[in-house]
Amino acid sequence: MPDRIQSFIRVLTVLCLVALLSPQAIADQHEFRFANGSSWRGDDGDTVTVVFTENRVEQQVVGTVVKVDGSAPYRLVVVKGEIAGGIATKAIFESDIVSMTSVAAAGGDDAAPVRTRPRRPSTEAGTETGVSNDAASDKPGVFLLPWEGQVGIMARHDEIEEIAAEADKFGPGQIIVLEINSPGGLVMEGDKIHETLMEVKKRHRVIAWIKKAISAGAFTALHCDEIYFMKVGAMGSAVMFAGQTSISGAQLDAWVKDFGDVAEAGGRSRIPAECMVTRTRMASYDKDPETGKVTWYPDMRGEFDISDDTQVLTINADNAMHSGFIDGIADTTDELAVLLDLPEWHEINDAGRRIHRRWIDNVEACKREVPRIMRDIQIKPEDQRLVLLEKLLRWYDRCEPVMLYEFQGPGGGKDELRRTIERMRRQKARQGRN
Amino acid sequence: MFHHALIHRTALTGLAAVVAAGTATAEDRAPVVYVIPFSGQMGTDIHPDIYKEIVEDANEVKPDLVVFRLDSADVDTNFHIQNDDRREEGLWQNIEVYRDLMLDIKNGLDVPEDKQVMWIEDAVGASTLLAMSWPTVYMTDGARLWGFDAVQRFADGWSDADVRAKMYAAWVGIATGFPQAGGHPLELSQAMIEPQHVLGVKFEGRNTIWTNDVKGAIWTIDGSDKAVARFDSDSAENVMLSQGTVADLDDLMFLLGYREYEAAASGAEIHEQYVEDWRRTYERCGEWLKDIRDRGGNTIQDLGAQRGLWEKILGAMRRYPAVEARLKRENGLDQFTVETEIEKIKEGIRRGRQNDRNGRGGRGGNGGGGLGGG
Repeated sequence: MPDRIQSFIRVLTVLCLVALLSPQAIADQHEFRFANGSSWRGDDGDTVTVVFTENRVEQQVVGTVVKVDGSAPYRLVVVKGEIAGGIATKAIFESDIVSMTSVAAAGGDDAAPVRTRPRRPSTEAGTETGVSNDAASDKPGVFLLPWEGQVGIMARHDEIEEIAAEADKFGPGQIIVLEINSPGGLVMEGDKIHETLMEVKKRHRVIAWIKKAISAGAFTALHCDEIYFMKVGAMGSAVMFAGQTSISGAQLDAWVKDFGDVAEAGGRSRIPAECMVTRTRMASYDKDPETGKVTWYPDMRGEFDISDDTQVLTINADNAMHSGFIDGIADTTDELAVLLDLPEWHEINDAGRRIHRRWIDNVEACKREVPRIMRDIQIKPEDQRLVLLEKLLRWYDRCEPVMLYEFQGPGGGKDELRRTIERMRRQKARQGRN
Repeated sequence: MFHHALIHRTALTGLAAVVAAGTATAEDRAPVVYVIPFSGQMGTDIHPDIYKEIVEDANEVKPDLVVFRLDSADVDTNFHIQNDDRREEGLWQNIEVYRDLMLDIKNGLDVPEDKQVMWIEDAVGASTLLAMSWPTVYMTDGARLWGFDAVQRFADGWSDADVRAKMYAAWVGIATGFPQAGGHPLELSQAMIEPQHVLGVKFEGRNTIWTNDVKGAIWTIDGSDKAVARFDSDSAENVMLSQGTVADLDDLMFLLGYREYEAAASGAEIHEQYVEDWRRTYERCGEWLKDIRDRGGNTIQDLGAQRGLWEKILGAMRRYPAVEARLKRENGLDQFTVETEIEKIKEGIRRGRQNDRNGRGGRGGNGGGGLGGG
């Protein structure tokens, strides 16, 4: 009996210890089973990798489990990790979690960023990091060129060439980000952009980061190795027209082909790209739920509609991402850095911003000053006219695209204006002699 | 600039609040909520001109939560007498300005997006773009959340069907960016922008599945292919577009799980002051325009007086883009046309003085005066 009593006391002691020591541990241990059959069991404070979907976009966060609220199947997992360049806390609904795995804690609270994984299994072009900065720059970074406004007037191939030349100084394999916000513009500039980008892509990794890429803006973006959208992003609407009338016949066929070719050169399907050019094309797709592989159709047989034959396509962040037509969504430079596999957002220098600012300032000054000059020619005394015309001529040299396409060649065009000025100078000289 | 945030502490009594979201981040203070008003006319009262300052102020306050209080409607609820002041209708042509405003606010605030809440008191017209730009939405009882009716008309000026389709698609794409930024699905935004899309909902567990095919939908929100989808606080809550219907800020905070909080009122004060200032300035511009018309006259003194008035108007336009927006809409005036008036008057005065010197009396030239009619 004493043995049984001692044994009972030992059991009781163990139970009491369990009772004393474990309530917290029991309370904090969580077990999850996910739709794909995987499961996770762990405690608050564990370092985990969580793959989850949000707004239909699959994302991943590595971080520490802060807490789990609620009861199955509606639990909320709170993970602390690096988000958009800073440590933040992310609450994820159980139903949104695809998988959750424990990782060996390395460095305490260290956490990988939340990232949207590109879902383009069939087109992986340009996804390697490819950054090989020379000694001039210690850490991987980018050259960012804001590229905004009307194509051919504000957004031009010239600035792309300039930033490429700047990147060349650091050797091949640089990342050039074109931050695109363009309503489209001149087709003839599109040809120059095509030549420029096809060359630049041979040396560097060219990224389109889109707020708005309409028409020639979309044409430009499609050239790029990778395309990222801001959540507000829109790309498409590339019907070509002259005056008030859209092109047709062979000209249209050629433009459709160009658009498709460019999309394929960028590693994307030509089917949706062609829908951006004409109402006559259609696009839909199927998506393998397991692999995410997208199969495009030039008609409406796919499960997911993109564009029917009543509309011109402008694609937005959700359908662009779901269809794998773009590589990710980033609203901030920090978010973009994660998608580009950079440890942090780092601009190697500000050349792109300066190149952009210089040209935009010039364009804005031209748009501001030329109407004033034109007005003053009308209302100022005759003796000031020559000076005003000379000012006007100088703007042709400083900002020809605006003079030609925005103001339709004031003064009858540059050559005519020069002749007018010469005539006035001779007249003035004659009057002086008399 | 810190605007002496008027912080009032509100203790809510009653039942325990909803869990988790609303726990205080610091034990020694109640959570602080900063209210950013989106109230009044889109394009003037709601203008980037003022929100940079408000965002800076909010970041100085360091709130735990930001609530956007949206109250901007182009039409009132009395549809019978149609007494709405058309001058107060929101400016739709600024759609990309609103987009950048929204992005600047979101990216400019130090508070993460999951701590930014859209509280809709009324959203009819361009303000719906902002209403749909945030994922967490609450509505006041009876509040409206109408569709983006105007976008469908943006391309009407194009006669060629393909060009019109291009312009239409572009504008729809840009407008869709707002609800995309708010994490709202395309099926919902399409029905709110394009009349031809109907809208229904199905439910999977607690999730709402939006569909543009009402066959098989549990509820039809918009069965018409002639009108865009609209919501009120009830219908929005029923389909979980709105997370809840509230009476006031206390109510909202309670639903968000904050039993106790401090409200920073400086954002509302900055906005109120701005609205008061630009509207007062705008009224003065109206008076100056009337003076210009009433005074008339071609003497150098008359022209000098007119020039002074135009310069005041120009100064007001430069100070407040909202003033310029209203003067442009109602009087066809922008800075360039006003500058032109001033230049014409200057030229008139110059000619008048020249005439004086030539002994031909003190009349000025043909200066200004042609613009400014209501």
